Amino acid sequence: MSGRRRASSRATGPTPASPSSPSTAELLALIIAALAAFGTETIGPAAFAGCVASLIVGFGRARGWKLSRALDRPRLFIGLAAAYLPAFVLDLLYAARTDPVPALARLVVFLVAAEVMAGSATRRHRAVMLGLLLIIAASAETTDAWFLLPLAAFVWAAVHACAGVTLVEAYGGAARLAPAPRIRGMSGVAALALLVGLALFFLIPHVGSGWGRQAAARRRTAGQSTGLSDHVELGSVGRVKKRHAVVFRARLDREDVAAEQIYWRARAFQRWTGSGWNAGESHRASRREIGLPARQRVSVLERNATQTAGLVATINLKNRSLSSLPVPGPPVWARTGHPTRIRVESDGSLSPTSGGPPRGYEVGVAWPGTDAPHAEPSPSVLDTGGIEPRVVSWARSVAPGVQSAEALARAFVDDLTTRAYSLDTRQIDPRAPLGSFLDGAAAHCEYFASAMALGLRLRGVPARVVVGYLGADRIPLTGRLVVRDARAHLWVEAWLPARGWVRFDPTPSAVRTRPAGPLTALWSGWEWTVMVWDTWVIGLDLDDQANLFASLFERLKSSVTAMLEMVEEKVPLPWIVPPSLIGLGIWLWRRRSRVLAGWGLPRGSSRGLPPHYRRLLRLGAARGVRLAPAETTNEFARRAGAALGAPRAVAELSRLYEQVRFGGRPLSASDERRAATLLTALRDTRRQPSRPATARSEKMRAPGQS
Amino acid sequence: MRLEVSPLPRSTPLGRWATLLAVGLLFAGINTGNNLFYLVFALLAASELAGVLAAGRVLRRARATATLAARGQVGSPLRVTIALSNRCRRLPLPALRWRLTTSRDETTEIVTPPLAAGERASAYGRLTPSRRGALRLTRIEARTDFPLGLGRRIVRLRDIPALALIAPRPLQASPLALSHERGQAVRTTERDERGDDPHEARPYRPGDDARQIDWKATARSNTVIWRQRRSPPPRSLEVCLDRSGPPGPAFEARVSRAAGAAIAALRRGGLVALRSDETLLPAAAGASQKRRILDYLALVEPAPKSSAASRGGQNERTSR
Repeated sequence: MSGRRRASSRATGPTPASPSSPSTAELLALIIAALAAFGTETIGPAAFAGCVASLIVGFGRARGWKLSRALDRPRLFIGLAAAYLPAFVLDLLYAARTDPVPALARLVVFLVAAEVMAGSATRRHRAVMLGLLLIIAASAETTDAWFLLPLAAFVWAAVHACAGVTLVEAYGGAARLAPAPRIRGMSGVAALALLVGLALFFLIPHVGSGWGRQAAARRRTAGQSTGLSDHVELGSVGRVKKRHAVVFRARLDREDVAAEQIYWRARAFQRWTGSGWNAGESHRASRREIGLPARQRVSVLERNATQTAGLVATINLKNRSLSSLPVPGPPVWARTGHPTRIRVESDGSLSPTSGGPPRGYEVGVAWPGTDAPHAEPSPSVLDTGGIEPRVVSWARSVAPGVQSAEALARAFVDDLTTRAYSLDTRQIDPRAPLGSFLDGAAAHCEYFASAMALGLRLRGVPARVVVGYLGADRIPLTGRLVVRDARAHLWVEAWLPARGWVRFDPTPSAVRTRPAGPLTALWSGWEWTVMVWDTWVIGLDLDDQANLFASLFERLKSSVTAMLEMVEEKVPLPWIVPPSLIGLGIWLWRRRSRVLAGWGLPRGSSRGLPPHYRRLLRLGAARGVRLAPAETTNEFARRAGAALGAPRAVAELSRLYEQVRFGGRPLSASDERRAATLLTALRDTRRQPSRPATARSEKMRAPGQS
Repeated sequence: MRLEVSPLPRSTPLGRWATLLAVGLLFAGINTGNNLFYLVFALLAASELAGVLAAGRVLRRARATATLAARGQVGSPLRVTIALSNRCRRLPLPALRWRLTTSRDETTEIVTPPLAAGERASAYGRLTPSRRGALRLTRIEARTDFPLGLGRRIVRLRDIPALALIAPRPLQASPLALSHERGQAVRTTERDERGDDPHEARPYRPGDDARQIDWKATARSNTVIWRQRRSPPPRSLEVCLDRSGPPGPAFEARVSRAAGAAIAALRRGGLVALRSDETLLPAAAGASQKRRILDYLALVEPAPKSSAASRGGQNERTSR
């Protein structure tokens, strides 16, 4: 696109109605920020509605709406601010007990309203900065992957809003008189900012220990955030399953292990409370505590046990409020990088002591054996206190004639896996949760496992539920496994006299995997996005960064090595050198004008000169006449004319140069022909010094020209 | 003309606030372990970086020329034009408030409009010189916070060839300063053959203009007398500039009076010559002579004492 404009004291173009009315990009940035804050529940519906209303009024101000004009009263906002200040103090004091961020976000919303409706024309960036504060407040309240969308959209809108302001800020208070700026090219800047921002995000060392968040997490009940507390209430694991935060990451020493089939065992519960499960008193009495020296394997087995580890898992905890240490099977030994102590529960699970869980640990587990350690069951695993009558009738109806514990367990599994699975448990009757589930209400793993465990107990088979995680996502590039909250799971362990504790999973696996459909690919893509977001954004830490860069370095090294080997072995030298030379030649040819422009001229003297004058300078330089610093055109023309023996020709060329340089008039076609003729004459004069140059140039003067 | 862009941006008030906010975000990230704080911090820093790169690119690719009117006069506004072209293929060029400083520390400001990719525009301003002589633009500078307002870039025009000759302000020469020594009149042109002054009488010849027959002389004689008439000789003014004395207001006043006398005479259509101890501009009329005289007077300097001692204080001498 090309054009020519001339600026004067009066400029043309659409002008906003009010100098302080926000631009569309500013309003867009603010509405995106408000949406993000509302979507993350940082601000409530009332604050969001107020924010949107003020943005609409601000939008109307730029277009002269009557409503906007009616509200354009600075005193009104001073009064509102005076009224809001005590309300904000109370709001902050009240919210500080739990989370002060929403109160601060509400203050920002109020400032947004004030800024949009009564902002000043000279501080146009303020609205964008307030939007940024809203985005920051929202980022404190979420870890969801969709947050990336408003974040990117806000960057785009903020870049446009800021560019719209800075494009015309040179006009000062008369910015509204400036020609309407066209800022199409700023999308590229926004895209560059996003790309560079992501790169920076990976480069910044994530040294944060998160002590503030840990302190906040310790105040809450761990079960609410992990599902792995001392007890499980029906429905608590279902709530955890709706989240996608990374719980831990693991690396296995074997590649042949199917990630989806790993049961990450965390904790077993034996006592049924009527509405959930807990470990029971006997369990607490039989656990033992062991010390782990730094970097040394320590057996966690009983003294007389002789199991060997078939699989080694290196686990890195992201959620440090876990009350159990998940392991992919019956643990045999454990090792940590720093001296610590852990507890070995009677069910074989590992749990942290009061010092908190280790950040990372290595554990050897029995593999492929899936059974839990052969500890004798306590009497409590047959306790069915507080059971609903419907569960009793159901338990008696399943495989009535079967006596074998294993066959009975499989019959229960077969019965339960035909039932409806859903994370939405609104059909469950809270007064009789298992009964309503067995009557056909859809539920999730807690109900399946609880029903089976109680059913087995009712039929005389010792059983308990185990909480943990099922499956993992394998990270592309590094191959590590990631386990998120959404993989929280409950299953059953039944005591079989010949085998000990054996795992049974009554939850239907088919419905846990999403059925194929038209939106399957879309949903899979979204899940992949969520996984990448959780893994590489939310869960990124210093170890990941080190591993990532080490992996990238290794890959780069191997790629370069492979390429060099391929070049050495397969590609002959003649295939490389000629194309390289040709490419170099093309590059030089395309840049010849720049490379040759200053050839033979004093340094820096050829910039911005018309071609004919540049040639004249070059001709003069060949005769030893160079443009001196601070020498005017006419002075040089006199000197060069005398040296070249053609003062008229040189004077005329200088005049043409002055016409271009100072007159602002480009050379016409006839001028260019004339200049070429004169230059040819000068060059010939240089070759034939015996002929008078002036005479020749006079001869070649075009007819009719003096 | 080369545009030189400051390599690193300077901070702006908004940039300082943004830096403060970024530091707070980093602290919040370390405190809470929330990687989204790191992400917002990275995006904030990257936006600034991208803004710096974009501003540097569009400003470096821009081409600007500053044009100064070749000649001016003390006290009269001199037109200064800045032509700007945005040679960037995608990015817009912001409006720039150029501050122009001359070799005598006179300043003016010109605002060039924002330019879309590939667009060109020019803006002009006025500069009122206070002294005669050669006027150079020594510094042309603009500042911009484009694109995000977080950093300020300074753009300077280098290698400014714009040069103007500032002629003295013409002053009405006092009549007392003009001498009337007719004997020193210098005739440089022939008289016009048309006019009222009688010049030559002879008998009428066929073909002569009958309107020029001198009827009175014809009545006194027996032949028809034809009289040639011509215009009065053109007024010729030789302005003599005395360069003696120290530089200062007195000398400047002499130069201004010389310019005023020459311009007044040239405006009346007369011939004007300029003489000083170092030069003589032959008498001539018209715009070119005016330009020559004013160019000389723009640059003339007082003579050293030795050469000026022998000369009198007369400024202008008129002759007819």
